Parts: sequence; C-alpha cells; structure tokens
Amino acid sequence: MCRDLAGTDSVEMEFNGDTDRAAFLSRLLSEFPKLSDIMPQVGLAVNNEYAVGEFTLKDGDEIGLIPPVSGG
Amino acid sequence: MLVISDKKIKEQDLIKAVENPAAGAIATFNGVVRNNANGKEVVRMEYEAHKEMAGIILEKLAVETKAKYSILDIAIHHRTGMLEIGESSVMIAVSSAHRKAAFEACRYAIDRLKETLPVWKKEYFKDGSAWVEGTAVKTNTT
Repeated sequence: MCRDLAGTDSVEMEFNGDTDRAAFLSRLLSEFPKLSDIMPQVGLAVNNEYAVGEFTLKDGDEIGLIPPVSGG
Repeated sequence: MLVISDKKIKEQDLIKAVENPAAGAIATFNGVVRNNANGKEVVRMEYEAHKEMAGIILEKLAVETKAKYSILDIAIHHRTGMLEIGESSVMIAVSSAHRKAAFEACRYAIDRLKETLPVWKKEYFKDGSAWVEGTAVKTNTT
C-alpha cells in the first residue's frame, strides 16, 4: 500500500544530527505527502524490529513502513 | 524450519521438521485460501511480505511460543505470491510430549502470526482487487 502511494518501494534519506520519530515522520510526509492519510495506521520498524515508542536514528539505520498486517 | 517463500507448502516437510522421538503429539494448522470474503466471491489471493523482517519475526514467534508452551519444536511456512482457491497460504507444525501443549501452541502461533508478521494479502474478485484491511501490529501479548 505504501509503495503504491509513494511510487517507490525504498528511498534513501539524509538527516542532520539525531532524528527522532517526529522528525522522521515530518520529513517522510513532506517528501511523500500522499502517505499522509494512511500514516496514522502505519507502524514503523527500525532495522527489522518494530519500534513502538520513541527512537533515535543512527547513520545507516533502515526504517520499514508497516501498514496493518494481514498475513496468515 | 521457519520459511517465507513462494514455493508450494508441503505438509510432510513441516511434520518431518518437528519430528522427535520424545513427541507423543504433532499438531498442524493449515491456512487455506477461501473462495469468499465479506459476501464477495474471491477468485485468487496474493500475498506480499517484507521478506527480511518476516524471517526475523518468525524466529521471534518460534522463541515466544517455545517459552510459553512446553513443546519440542515448531515449524512454520508462510507462502507469498499468487495463490489459487484451496491452496495453503500458511502452515504450522508443532510437536510436544503431550497433545494439550501441541494444540495450544499451534493455535497461539497462528494467532500471533496474524498479529505480527509483516505480510499483506490482496483479494482478487471477478471485477478487480483490493488489499485486505489488516490489523495494527501487536508487539506485546499483555
């Protein structure tokens, strides 16, 4: 779903200094405004681990956008 | 055996993977593609995974299930790609000394898989397709 809305399945971003959840989301939505409607339901994963609360991104970190899942 | 792949699921492989001379019970769950959803006829189903993360989540699920139930082993294969009606999308096999733990662990594993695995399915109807409305990931069981 995110891929359809963003038009790509991965993108590299550069941030200055420490980036927390809010800063990441704000940057993501400014580059991909079409994700705005769905983002409240989308979970985040940092380096393949679900990131439920706060986080600080480091150089090389990989963020996954995880919409509500429907496996099984 | 914890697998995410587009290969056809083989029940015998999963059962073999959990076989153990100390096991008195092997329970399996077979998730199959159904021909209807919410009153609409479904003609096929497509599954997509965040492959790298799904493998990691399956490992966590196996650890979590083994910690909660006294089982000997667990095997899971979730299939991705386009599936026809009647094909297996996911299979779980669990072995334990006694049947109670095998049944309970098997049920727990599929319930948790459906809450945590980064996999998404798309239903295909005669006249179009739609992503299934999913569940927000539940990382904790409490």
